[in-house]
Amino acid sequence: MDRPTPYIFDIQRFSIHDGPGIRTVLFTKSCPLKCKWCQNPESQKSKPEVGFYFENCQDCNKCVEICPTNAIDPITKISNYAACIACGACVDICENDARRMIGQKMSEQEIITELLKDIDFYSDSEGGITFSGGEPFIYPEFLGGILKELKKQKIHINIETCGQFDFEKVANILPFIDLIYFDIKHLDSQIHKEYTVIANETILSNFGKLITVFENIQVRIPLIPNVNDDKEHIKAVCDFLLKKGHKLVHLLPYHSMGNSKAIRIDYKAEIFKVKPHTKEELNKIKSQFSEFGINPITYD
Amino acid sequence: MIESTTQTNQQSPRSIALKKAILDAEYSICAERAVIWTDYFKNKANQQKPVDIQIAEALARVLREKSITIYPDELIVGNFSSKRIGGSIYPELHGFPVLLDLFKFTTRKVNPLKVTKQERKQLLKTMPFWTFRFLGMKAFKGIGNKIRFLLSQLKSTEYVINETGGIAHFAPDYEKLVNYGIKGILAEAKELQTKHEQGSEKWNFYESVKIINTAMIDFGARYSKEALQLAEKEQSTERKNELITIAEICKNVPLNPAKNLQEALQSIFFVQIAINLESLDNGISPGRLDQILFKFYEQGITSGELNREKAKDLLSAFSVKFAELIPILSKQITEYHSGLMSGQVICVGGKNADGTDSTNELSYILLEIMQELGLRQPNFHARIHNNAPAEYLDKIFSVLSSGYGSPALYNDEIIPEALQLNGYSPDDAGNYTPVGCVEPTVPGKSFASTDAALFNVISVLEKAIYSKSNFDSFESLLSTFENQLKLKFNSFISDMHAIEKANHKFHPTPLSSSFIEGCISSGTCSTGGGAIYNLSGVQCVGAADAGDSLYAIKKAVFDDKTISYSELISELKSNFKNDQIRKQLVKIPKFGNDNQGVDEMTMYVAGTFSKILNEYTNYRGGKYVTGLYSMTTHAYFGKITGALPSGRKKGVSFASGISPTNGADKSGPTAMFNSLNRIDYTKFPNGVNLNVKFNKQTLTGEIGKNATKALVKTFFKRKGMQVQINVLDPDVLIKAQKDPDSYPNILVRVSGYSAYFNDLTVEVQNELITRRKH
Repeated sequence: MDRPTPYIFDIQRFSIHDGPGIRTVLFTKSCPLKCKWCQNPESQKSKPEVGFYFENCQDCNKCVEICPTNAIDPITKISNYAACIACGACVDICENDARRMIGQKMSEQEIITELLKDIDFYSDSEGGITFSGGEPFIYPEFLGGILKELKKQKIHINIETCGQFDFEKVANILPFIDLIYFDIKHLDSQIHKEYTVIANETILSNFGKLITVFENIQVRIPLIPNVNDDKEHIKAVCDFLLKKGHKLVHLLPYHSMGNSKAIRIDYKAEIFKVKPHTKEELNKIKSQFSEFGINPITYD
Repeated sequence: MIESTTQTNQQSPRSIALKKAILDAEYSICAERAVIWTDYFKNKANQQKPVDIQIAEALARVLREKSITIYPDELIVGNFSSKRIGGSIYPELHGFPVLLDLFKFTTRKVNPLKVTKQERKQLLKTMPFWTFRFLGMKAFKGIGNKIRFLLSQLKSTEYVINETGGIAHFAPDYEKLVNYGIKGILAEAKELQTKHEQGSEKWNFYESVKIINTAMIDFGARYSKEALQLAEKEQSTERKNELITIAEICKNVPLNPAKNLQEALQSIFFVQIAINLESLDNGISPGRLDQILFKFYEQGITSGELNREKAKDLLSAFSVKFAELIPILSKQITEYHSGLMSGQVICVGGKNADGTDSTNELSYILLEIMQELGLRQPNFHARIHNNAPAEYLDKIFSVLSSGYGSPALYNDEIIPEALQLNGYSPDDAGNYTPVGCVEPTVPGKSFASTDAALFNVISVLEKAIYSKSNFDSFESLLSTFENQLKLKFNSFISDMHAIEKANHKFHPTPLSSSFIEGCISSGTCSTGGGAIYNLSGVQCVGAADAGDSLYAIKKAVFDDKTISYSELISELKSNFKNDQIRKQLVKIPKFGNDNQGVDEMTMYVAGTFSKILNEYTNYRGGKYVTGLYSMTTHAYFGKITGALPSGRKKGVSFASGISPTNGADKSGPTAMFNSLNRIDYTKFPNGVNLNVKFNKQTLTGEIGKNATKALVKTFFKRKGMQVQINVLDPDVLIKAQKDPDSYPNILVRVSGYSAYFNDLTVEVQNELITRRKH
């Protein structure tokens, strides 16, 4: 069967912050949202692209010369995504590790082999495998195939989702999943669209449907200063969650790591700049969540 | 269980004061032993005596004449040297070469040592006598051979024979000591001596045992007298009473069986000092103290004489003393063994012979002490098995997360098996303790010379690589490597035998022999093979670099044919004039990334080394066995070695122990452990050292602690052998390197031992800064 399969942009072993225990995280490319603060900007587009590590570049211009579609800017050395066919010629010719391919096709079997390498550690640490992205749920058939195999080994599965997916298709693979990290960014659809490119109706309705059929959901909110951290919005989130019968939220404080990654793939990338919350501000936000009946959990 | 193990005690004021005194003390050279030893051997009458008697009498004189000091706050007394932190010179062993450094000690960059003008003068005066009389000279016949050996050790390229400095590295039978006292040993020796003719070899041996053990009794009595004198002058009633108790204890031990915990500790410490003064080779290890001492703890608690707090104070006051000893090494030897490590292991936990768990309250107390002291010595180790209590593991990882790198962890699921395959009985193997750095031995029964030598396997690989301008096949290169290794082993083993024989002939160890089963019953010195177990350990240094290099040759030259053999050779000789070729070689997978192909090459190198070495028998009748730890020779050998096919440039440090080469384990700790679990550790009964570094952030907090614990659990379940965990903040290390004075006490774990960052060579410091962290 021919299923749409994602490009894989990273497989991270010994991950200890993406679910319980020691985990391997599979990162798939492509995301329907384009959050301005995105921590993995290289995951947004569906095709492979070439990352430019300018600090390693010796200005030899070999990449510019070899590019069959003239996609590389001779001065900035950044690839033009529209013109780049991700053939990898520039990556191969670069002697200085200044160009790296982001996203590669792997067969289902290759992926499974890689994911099973740390199986002993999963069982001893009560860990498992996490699928992240991009948005893994936009490839339900692909996921289903892999999860079925992984579940034969009784591996704990966690999916990190932005919530924008086709619920009917995802419902089929829920039996293979143990935990879902569900992100909520903003409850106002207009603002949601302004910061993430799309409206939030599908996301919120998916959450409503999911919570009736799937037990182990962890709601996560990336806390973005001046975007979704005001008291009014916090109350709206709390009301929404309480109505759905959910009492816990994990808060992910904003940090600016995504910015440095964004310019590797697009030097014109609009840099989203806000000042991260201080400890005091975070405490205040936490107490507001508590005040509105939701138990907040933060990470240092 | 007598008291709850979860009880958290604060570090006692005494422990804090004793630790501070150690941290404030300068590292010094003490001339006393050298002066007394020289004086004894210069005496013409003494020169006529049998060698066993000579050593016993010389050591007895040292114990009777050396200065003795009882420092404030001490509960366990005894000083290794006349300095708070000091080391002795053993002119008859490392002798002449170390004395040549007399004017360099104070000013040298790495491990500077203080020596007073007067003592320097005294030491200089001993020099002429030892010029041709030290062990390395006496071991070889013919001046050419003498000089060849001396030079090979002074600027070693192939191997470093530590036995030139004597043979030690064992765990004395301290259980026998505390249960029977010196009295017991003397009685045994006296009775057996009568069965031999006066003046016969065995009679002499028993005589030497009698002489030195009698001196041990007097040694204790000297401290008893000193304590009484101090008590008389003491103003504080509390301290006065402590001193009076010390005086009573030192009258009773080491002569008699110990009556309580303090006596047991005191008895052990007296012998610990004396054995260290007998030979230079270090690694004298008390071993499984939680097992040996538990009955005293239990008795004390039951009788009400002791409580947990007091027991901890005693053990803490005892442990601190081990940091007072440093080895005095020449500048050159410091390159091989930087960090001033004396290898005195204290080990906790483990499985009993019947498979049940052996941890007790003392195991927990000692773990707390490790955390509170954070000193260079003793070298703290913990044994772990599949059914170790959760509480015990929890405590270990809490201690580790405090960042001192202690304890190092040892796996009961593989080490006894490895020892049994090399002739140990199941019961003895189950009672193992590491000694020195990482070497498993059996307390009171092994004289396993675990630190006999360190062998640079890369020197042999280079010989093979450069032996021809081309090879028909990769297999033919491998067989050349094996042949070269056999060839080199022949001359190496012949040097080893000469040194081992010289130790027996010129430097027997009657005191050590008194605490190793088999020696007294057979009337044979430990240096002559009197022990029950007589292995010698040789470390294979550079296995990962050799494996990476062989794999790179296989891939680039033979499989993918991207580089010709001659091209490779010329690149190696020019230290990679063509950087592109180097980059290509660097990209070929390296050991430690869960890549079976390259991992197998490292296993091949270490396995071949072990197999060939195992065929040789040492002078004492035991097998040579392989270890995979490197002290700091990986940095030294790396410094003097040219470019390697792995893409490693000239002068760069080799991998430490069995760790992947610096920075090569790019796929994270799980992949690294998968690679390391491909190794069959039963082939390396002399011990291995895996140094894993974690970023401070990874290991702190519950999540990090549990993840680290799980990593070790999996590694050990799959029969990994040893691991030590460094929790480092590289930024702090960089600052410390630039401004050592502001960061005096950063304790790090090197090759199986702890050292202060400032005491290490720059190469080793850089290794700690750059080695990949997880």
